[in-house]
Amino acid sequence: MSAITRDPVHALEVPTDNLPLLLPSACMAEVVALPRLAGVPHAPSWLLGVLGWRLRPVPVISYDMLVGGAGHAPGPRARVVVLYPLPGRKAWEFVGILSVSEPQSRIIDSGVAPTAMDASFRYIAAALKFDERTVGIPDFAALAKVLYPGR
Amino acid sequence: MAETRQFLRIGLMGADYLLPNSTSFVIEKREHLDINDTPGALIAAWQVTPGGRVPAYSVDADLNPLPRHNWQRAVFLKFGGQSLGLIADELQLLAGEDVRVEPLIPPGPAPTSAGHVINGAWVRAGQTPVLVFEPHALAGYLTQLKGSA
Repeated sequence: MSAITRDPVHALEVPTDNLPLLLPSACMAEVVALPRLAGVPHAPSWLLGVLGWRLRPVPVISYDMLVGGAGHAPGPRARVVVLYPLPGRKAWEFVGILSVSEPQSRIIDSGVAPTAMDASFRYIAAALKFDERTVGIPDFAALAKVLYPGR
Repeated sequence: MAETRQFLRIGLMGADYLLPNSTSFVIEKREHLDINDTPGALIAAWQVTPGGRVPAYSVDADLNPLPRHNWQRAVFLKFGGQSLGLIADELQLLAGEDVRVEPLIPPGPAPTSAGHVINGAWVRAGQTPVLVFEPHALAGYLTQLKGSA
């Protein structure tokens, strides 16, 4: 596999219980502490609830649970990464992803190599190796389809 | 004359929801209803009207049926020529100018054929958002309960 040779991209590594996610900074509006969320009746388990953010309602999802992992109560170090709207969604449809602890700043540069995609990686556009760890860059179009089926 | 916009705050086992007055609703006290004493019944009471009895369902904060007896009031929604009721722990009318509702499309499949039961939220600084019912979908959901009762 060839190394990445484009200009460096600033990103945040978002810890999850499974595959850590690498989110380009340009996709993120803010990282906030996890407050009490408003539960949505009859929501799928991966929709944790609704966050009040800058006087807007922002649904918060668990990537781990979206891909079929077990869910557990978020700890005190949990954060919410508020993303700008996914492709095809309205300008006010921000969405939050649960981070099990504080996300870490990363730079994607020529020293970072793509790695093979595992069949278990779902809604992931590409996988990268960081210090022997594999991280996944979400496929935002695929996420939009699964979060908003038929819409 | 423009219709005054109001919201009904509905408290359900620790969760608050708002119902806009774009749909008609009637609040009834427990003593004005015909109580269902059957253990485990989905229908907590009926509103007796000239046209018949209108059921009021007891649900939990996630809108799942949950029989309970310590309640005082119910709200009856009128839609499409019929009515269905919901037992509430708290009911409070709020003036539209006091409530700022932002649109919200919950991710995931809609739980009713009429769509998501939530279509907005009232967000205040430092407080948990209050979700807003979409009246037709809520009525559709209660109709589903009627079918299973």
